[in-house]
Amino acid sequence: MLIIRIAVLAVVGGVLSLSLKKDQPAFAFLLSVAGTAALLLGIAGQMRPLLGYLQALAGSGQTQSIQCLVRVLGIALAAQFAADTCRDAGMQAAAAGAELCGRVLALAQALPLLQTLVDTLLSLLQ
Amino acid sequence: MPFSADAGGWQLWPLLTWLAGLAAQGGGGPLRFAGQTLLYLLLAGTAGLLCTGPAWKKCLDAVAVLGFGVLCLGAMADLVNRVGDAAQQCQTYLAAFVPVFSGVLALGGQASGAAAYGGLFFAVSGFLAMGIERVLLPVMRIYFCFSVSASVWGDSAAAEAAGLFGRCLNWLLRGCGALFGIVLGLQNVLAGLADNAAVRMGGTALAGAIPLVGDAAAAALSGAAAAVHLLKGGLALALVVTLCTAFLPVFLRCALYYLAFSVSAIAAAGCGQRQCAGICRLLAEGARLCASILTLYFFMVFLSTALLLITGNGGM
Repeated sequence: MLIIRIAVLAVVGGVLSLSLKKDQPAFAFLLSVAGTAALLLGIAGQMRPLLGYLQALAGSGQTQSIQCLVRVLGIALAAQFAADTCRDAGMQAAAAGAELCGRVLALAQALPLLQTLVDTLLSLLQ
Repeated sequence: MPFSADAGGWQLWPLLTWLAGLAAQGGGGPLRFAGQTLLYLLLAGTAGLLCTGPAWKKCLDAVAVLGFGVLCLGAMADLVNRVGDAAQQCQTYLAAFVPVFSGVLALGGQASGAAAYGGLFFAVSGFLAMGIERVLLPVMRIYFCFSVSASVWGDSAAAEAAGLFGRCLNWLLRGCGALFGIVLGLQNVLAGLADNAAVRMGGTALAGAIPLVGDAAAAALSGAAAAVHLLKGGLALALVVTLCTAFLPVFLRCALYYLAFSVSAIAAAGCGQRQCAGICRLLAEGARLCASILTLYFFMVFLSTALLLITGNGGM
């Protein structure tokens, strides 16, 4: 089963990373990043039908709202992953920077939605 | 309408088909809207679950409430326009109907009723239609905008203020309904009493003043009044059917939107979308207020016509 393989991979990666951390911290960091990437690649196959379903639903109406939400979710997950990876490497400033970049990009994605809301409010009041 | 205003010719199946057609006109939009909102809330809830950080969850909630506000405001703008159109359509129909009905009332011996219907009732209905278009519906638009803005802002005080706004509108509509009901009901009863007395006096005068044929003349007067009363009933029925055609789909739409928002409020609360649940509660109240506006106008017109029909009996 997929979840058991993912769990085993996560445990093995963690143990190897811990064993290398004392002597070779750089390699331990690279191993933890590679392990995380492998976990995400493993679940990517499961995401494809879900993304296809979301696209079909977005096509049924309210495209802008649903697309914006999905994009912001993607930005949030990517920024979270980058920030956590930086924290693993002990780089707090880089983690904060990654989170800030993620928030700015999420805001940029939400701006058209905000504009649509303001336009709808104005048209209703006129 | 697929059938005539003569109730004697109605059959059950065409009547049911007509009612189903009216229901379909009003029901399609709100049901689609309910599906869209539930889907959107499910998606927003799932997105919230996938994000573990509290800061990112807040960010996602903010985007979700923006999108939900856009979705709901579009639907409410459409509803408000339909309510205004229904009232205007009815008023346009009354402009043609009232002179005809007043003429029939006068012909049937209800001169005071005809004057009341053609004068006071038409003026009041025109005033109410104008009040709905110029005052109530703009206020409803402001209420919808304020509700969505308050919920997007997320401050509990603003949401409470929007709730208070809704309650004030509720009390205002109840007051208007009570006032119009009292004024029109009283006017119709008094006009009916005056007309009944006048026709009875006319019959008595005929029977007493004209020998031999006076009784026959009085009976003929009653017979003619009865025939006109039947015509009056047919016209009033035509009005009621026309009102139903104009109001029923919009009223059903308001009721379905109320249900859709109520269910969405529960779904939003379940998905952890507190602000979206606030939007749903406030807009459900708004849909209920739109239905109240329609009900006020419909029953004002219906009650006035029905009271004239019931209280004026042409001396029978």
